[in-house]
Amino acid sequence: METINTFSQPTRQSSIAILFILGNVFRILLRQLWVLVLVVLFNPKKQIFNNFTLFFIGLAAFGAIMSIINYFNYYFYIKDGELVLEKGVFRKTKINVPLDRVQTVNFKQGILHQAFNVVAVEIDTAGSTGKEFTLQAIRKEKAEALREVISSLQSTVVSPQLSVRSFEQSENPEFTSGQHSFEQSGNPEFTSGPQSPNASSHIPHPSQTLLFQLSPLDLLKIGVSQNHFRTAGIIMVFFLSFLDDMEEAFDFDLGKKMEELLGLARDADAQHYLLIGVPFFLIISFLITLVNTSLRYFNLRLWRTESGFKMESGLFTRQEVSAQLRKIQFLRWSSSPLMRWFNMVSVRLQQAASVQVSRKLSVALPGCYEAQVDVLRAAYFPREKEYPIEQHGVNKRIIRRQFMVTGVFPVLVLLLLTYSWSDGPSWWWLLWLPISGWLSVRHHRTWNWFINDEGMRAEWGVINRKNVLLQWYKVQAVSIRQSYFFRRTKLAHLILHTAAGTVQIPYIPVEKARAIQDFLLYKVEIDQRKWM
Amino acid sequence: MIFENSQIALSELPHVEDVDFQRLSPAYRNVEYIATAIFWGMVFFGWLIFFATGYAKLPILTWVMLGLWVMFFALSMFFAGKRYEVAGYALREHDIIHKEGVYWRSVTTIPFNRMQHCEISRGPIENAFGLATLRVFTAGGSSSDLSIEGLPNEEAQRIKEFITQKISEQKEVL
Repeated sequence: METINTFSQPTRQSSIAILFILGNVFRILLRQLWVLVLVVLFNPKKQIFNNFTLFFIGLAAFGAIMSIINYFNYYFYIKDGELVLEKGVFRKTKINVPLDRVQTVNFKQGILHQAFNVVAVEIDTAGSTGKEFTLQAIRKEKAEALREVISSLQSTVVSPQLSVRSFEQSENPEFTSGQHSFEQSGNPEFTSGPQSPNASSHIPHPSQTLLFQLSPLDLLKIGVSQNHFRTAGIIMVFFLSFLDDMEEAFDFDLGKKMEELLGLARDADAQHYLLIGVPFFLIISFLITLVNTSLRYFNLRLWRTESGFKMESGLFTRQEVSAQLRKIQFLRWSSSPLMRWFNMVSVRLQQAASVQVSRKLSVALPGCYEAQVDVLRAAYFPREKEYPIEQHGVNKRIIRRQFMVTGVFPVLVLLLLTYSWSDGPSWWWLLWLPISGWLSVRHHRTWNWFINDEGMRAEWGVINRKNVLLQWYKVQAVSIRQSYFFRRTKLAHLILHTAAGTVQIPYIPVEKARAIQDFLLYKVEIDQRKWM
Repeated sequence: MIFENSQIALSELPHVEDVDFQRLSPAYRNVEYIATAIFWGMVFFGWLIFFATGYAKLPILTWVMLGLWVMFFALSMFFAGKRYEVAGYALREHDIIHKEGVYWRSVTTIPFNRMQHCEISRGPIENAFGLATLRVFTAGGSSSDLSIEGLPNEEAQRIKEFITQKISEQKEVL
């Protein structure tokens, strides 16, 4: 029980944290001022140089002092069922987070962290304000103890629910005995009162089973099957914004250069350069994605913990994210053509989280096999296959929309853009239309959804196959959307909102949408389980 | 758990479509008209500047723009009036339903046991007509949040109190 008392007193971070705070301050300074720094370094007028150097030294010293003061005024502790963070020198801030609002406690370990055996801790709450707790560096054992304390105090508070959810927790008989039902949830006394040692002593030490480990070969497959075009796009944007900054700093006219380049592109010579340049560029993006994914997902391991799942990965920066089963709102899995060729699927456990951090913190497996997906599905939705499942498709009109959006519209834009070319618009774009038409027809064919008493699954997509699995009781709001034409043809989109995003079933008969809406509202309103 | 085994007669479930929707305050129509007029008035002002400075080399272009402006203005005013006709809300024992939209019509339902909190906000134009907007918040982001515009102020206060009470009842159950 020492673990509970450990954090009742205001605790500072590890002194290593000064280093990280300092690093952050300098990073922010550099990001804001790097153009200025460049100008100073390369500017021939030496007089300004001296003044600026002084200015920078002053700024750096100020930053260093602020970091140290900040460190000494940064405390966290757990009191009355709340996690409290106090910080600030001139403007003191105190953040209280009720423990049962805590969605996830994640660790991150960069090289420096590893060297000093510390971790950065990120604690997320599901508010829409995105209030997030971060600790720059605390000792690893301490961080683990903190997480344990939080989750044990949490389960004390929420235990009345566990008796309802007993069929999911049956591997843990203590929970099903219903002996916690006397506790009133949210009462702060329980976190320090005599009952809490009793309650949390029933929680065995987190037992973990390893579900999946990425082998180097798997890692390579994942790296190869990533979206390389996206990397290419990011490189382009980065390069352009870099040029833009340089232009400002050195008064260098990009527009003129581009015109020259484009003018050159008309020549046969320049076209040769393009022929070599484009594949070269693509190969570079390919390599960058490959290296990036390999570093990020190096030695990825997925564990089944007592309360949910935990994922650990990374070569230089070890990242650990966890998802409590209760907090998973829905499951998404998808596969690109290359991944299907490798028999792999990428899975995302959609957790309730504030908007800003939801992507960062959701447990996302970049690639695994059917067996792991089945384990995740069974854990999230134990009764998925228990009921007779009805299969439905969507209305044929989706073909028309898909064709307009992916075929007609882009082709029109491209034709208009190339209209002014000297040899007239490039009619080759029209070849895209039949391809897009075929894809749209396939899109309609592949759209399937299944429902049973407890939830639904949907699958769609031609190039990327996508899947969604959702339990009814996770739904927070239901919308039925109809355009003017939908009302005439009696069609509707059914939109299910959860705390971690929305799930949409498009183009279905409006009576069906209404029937699902009524049934699902009934299921949600009658359900006593905690959904997040 | 008790409900798990009881048979559900699907036809006997309460239907969202069958509820009688409450209309918004008729003054909401005026709020919409004024807001739309202010917006298009500003656009018109832009057109005036464009016209007065003689920036446009082709006079025809400015007249075409004026024509477009008249068209869009008329359409927006029409839609603004329609918005009042279409919109409605209903409270049931376990949820709140909101209907809105002229071209894209949507009916959204949020059960009380999935709400986090609700609040009332009043813009200057709404204030002048004694109206208020009721906002209902759910957890995790804004996609499922609901806002009902054009409620009479007292009505909004009443609904807010009702919902707040329902939410706290739910928290006790959990």
